[in-house]
Amino acid sequence: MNIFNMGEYNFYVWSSVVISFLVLFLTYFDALKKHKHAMRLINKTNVRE
Amino acid sequence: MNTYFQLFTREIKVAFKRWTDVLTGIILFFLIALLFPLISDSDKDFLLMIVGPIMMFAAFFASLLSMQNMFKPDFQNGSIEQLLLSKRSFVGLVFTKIFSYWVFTSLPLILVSGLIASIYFVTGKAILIIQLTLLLSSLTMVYINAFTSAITLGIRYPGALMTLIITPITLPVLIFGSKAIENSILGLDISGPLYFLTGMMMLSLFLGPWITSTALKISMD
Amino acid sequence: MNLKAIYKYGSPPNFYRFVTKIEPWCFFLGMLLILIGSIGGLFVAPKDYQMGDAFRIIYFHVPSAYMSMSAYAAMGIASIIGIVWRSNVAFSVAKSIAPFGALITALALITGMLWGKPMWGTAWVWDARLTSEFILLLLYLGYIMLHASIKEQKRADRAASLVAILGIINLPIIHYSVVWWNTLHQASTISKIDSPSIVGEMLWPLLVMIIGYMVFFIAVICRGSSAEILIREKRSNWVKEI
Repeated sequence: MNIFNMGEYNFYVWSSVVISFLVLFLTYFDALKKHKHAMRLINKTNVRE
Repeated sequence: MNTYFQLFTREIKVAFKRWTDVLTGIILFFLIALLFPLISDSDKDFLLMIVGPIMMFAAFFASLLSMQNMFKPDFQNGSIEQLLLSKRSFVGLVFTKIFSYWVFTSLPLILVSGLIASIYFVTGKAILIIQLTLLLSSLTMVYINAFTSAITLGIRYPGALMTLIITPITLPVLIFGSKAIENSILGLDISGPLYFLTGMMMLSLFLGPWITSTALKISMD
Repeated sequence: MNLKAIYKYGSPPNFYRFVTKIEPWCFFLGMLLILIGSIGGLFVAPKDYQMGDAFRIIYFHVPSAYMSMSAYAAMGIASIIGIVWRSNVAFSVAKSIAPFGALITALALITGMLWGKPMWGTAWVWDARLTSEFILLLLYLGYIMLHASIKEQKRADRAASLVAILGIINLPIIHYSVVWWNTLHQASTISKIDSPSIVGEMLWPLLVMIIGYMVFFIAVICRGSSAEILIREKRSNWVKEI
């Protein structure tokens, strides 16, 4: 467990790690949600015609 | 040449009819600039320190809030389409229109600013420098404002959006303007910031009408 | 030969097929690279003699800052292509870059603040680089909001593209701000001409992270632009076959 301790800068380093990963996943999930929404939209349009 | 002069005089006449719009900008500038000495402890050194940023901010904010009046009424009554259809260069007509807007909104503002500067305990040559700075920066800002109001023409409440678009582009003007004013009060060399301001003014005078006319054509479709 | 490829992928169905094919590869490769880079940066690389462990934030701050600028450059180029060739594909790409770019710029600013607080004692200072990066964030937000406010799609595309193209001037300002002015932010660590001012064991995780972020960016854009193309072309035949 010792290597996880970053000394006096512990908080700053780990919070940057966490928030970086969070934001990266946020961007991907945002794009994914848009894709799902688009799929639903074209299925709706195609089913109707 | 005649057409441009006619457009210019027509704009001035219309401005006299809509004098309340014109006055809004000037009153806003006045109020913002006066507010700070009133609410702070009007210590002379403090006021001399903040007069630069305050002047630039007041000019920026006042032009921001009266920006919509630049193209909106003419867009709604169809006169911009008339300008598009005319044989003259659309870019040149847009340039004249924006320039006349500057004449009747910012020119009185520049004259008034001398009075306000004296409230901030500014003396002598610095007052003239403040007016010169405001002249250069207001000319720059009016073309940037024109582009922003042209690109947001169809939108109903574009206020926040215009601020968002305008801030990145106008920031250098504001920074160098307040630097120029600060330097003139401290007696330091003002040629650096003034050169930058003039450069930016030239840039926006030449590119502004062209970009604004492109934005107007996009909004007119 | 190159031009033919552009025309081929410029058409929506080909673009869609290409993008959907490469997306899972990019996603997993990107994640892998980021994971390797993070582990390398956080645990393998030695402590900096000046900054201690705090310098490890560089492995998260530099890639996101670099991406924020690359993404904007890509958005600007896509906007130019869209306006000049009136390409729906290009506009879709530009539109999907914007939210990613805004989030990545915000991330760069936040990680920068988290690094600045222990390093310089202050989370923020209005020097040239930080201010111009903040302006980049405003440019992204302005693009997104402008696009969302205009109801008619073609007009929205062209108006927002105009704003994006104008903002390109901010990129050299950000990049050279540490050279032109005396800023609190340090100078570039990696340059194309000189050898890097950082030692090898600390360098490789940084390069891996930067490449990982770029590949991940491509994956996100693939997803987003394919979604956008589907919505725009929902009435055409090739969409019906999906």
